[in-house]
Amino acid sequence: MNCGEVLRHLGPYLDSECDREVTLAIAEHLERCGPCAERLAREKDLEDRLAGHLGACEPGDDLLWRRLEGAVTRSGRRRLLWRGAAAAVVLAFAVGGASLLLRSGASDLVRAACADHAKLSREKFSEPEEPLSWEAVSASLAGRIPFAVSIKGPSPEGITPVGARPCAFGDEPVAFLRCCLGGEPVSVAILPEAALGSFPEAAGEFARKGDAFSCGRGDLHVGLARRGGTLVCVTGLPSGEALREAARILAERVEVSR
Amino acid sequence: MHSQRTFLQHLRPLQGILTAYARRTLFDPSEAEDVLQDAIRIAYGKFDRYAEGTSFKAWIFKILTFHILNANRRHERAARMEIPLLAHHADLAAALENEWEYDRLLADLDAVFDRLDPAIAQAVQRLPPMERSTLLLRSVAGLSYREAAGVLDVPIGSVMGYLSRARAKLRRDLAAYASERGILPPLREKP
Repeated sequence: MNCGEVLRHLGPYLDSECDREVTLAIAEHLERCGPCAERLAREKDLEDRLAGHLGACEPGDDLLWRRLEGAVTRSGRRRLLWRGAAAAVVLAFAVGGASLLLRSGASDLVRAACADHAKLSREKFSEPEEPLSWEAVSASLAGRIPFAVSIKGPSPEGITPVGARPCAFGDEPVAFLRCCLGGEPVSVAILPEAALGSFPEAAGEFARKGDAFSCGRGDLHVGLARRGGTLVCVTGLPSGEALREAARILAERVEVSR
Repeated sequence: MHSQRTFLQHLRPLQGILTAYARRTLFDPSEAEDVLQDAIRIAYGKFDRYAEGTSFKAWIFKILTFHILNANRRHERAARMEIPLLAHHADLAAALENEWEYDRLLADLDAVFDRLDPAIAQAVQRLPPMERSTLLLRSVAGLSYREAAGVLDVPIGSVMGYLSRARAKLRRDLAAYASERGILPPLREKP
């Protein structure tokens, strides 16, 4: 076996997955070839380090597993609890409490916005990125979602896009932008206002609170605004007031057309 | 007769790698706890069907993988639509030119590995799902090729192919990252 052949078998050899004949041939080669032996030792070192890195625990994992083990040990009791809960739901509907159950929690649109923001924060906001022009945002989204996104007049001050992609909240296509708002990373979701039909809880909140409002969910705030057929949802750590104002400005400037 | 205690005894040594595998293969890693909980409860419910003496690790990874695929299916449409607008993807052809940098990286692992932290997670995240799962099942979970093939329901040859491509891409990405960030001394010329 020559050096090239040894390298071709490198992965399976390090994984101890070569058959006996190949393993012996490689071992024999390594005995007389210093560079290959050194290369294999370093590759193994890299593999071990990568495995250690990729398999590393995160803070809080022990608590997570305490909860998971608790779920196993409680599983028998939980079945009984579920039966009880089901009976309670039936009773709640029977006494007219259904509306209370349906209204509990944040709105459907807010939940979707928070979930995507949390995901993108981990994936995308870890490194600073170059600002994009709004024209580049429009061009990058063109043809990839069933509506066009464009900006009317000058670019909104203080809101700088750094990335964009098509996305979906449930079944509704969404133009999803990563922006900087006063130096803070925020997510901006832009939809046609007609999409509110798919988010009855959010539609109800708009009906009650007016065309621009904010709400909180955990550490995150969400600012929502609608205007002229455009619906905007800005999500991030800045104050609800700041996000509502950003959403309002964007709803005024951004045009959504089919 | 299998007991809850036996189940937990089998499970505890694997908790770290199950968590790491879930986080790194889920489209949305924040779903890891929910998906793990579903998988663990189902596994416990089916524990009487687990044959003692066979690999518990492969058995539970298969159940977890099933739940991860289900969770990821919900995001499939969004994933298909995603545009890497500010692509950090290392172009493979360009990455090939980094082979010399890879050699350099390999020679200086002690000096550079800790500085590769951010690049490793990103490089693994960029792998196609099957390559990523195979790499993690082998490297993190320590499954054999046959066990990984069983978990993913693919032939062993496919496992070897996925693994080989995943490792090559990972190495090229790391070398490119190290070179771009100036972690490695520049090479004067190709040997």
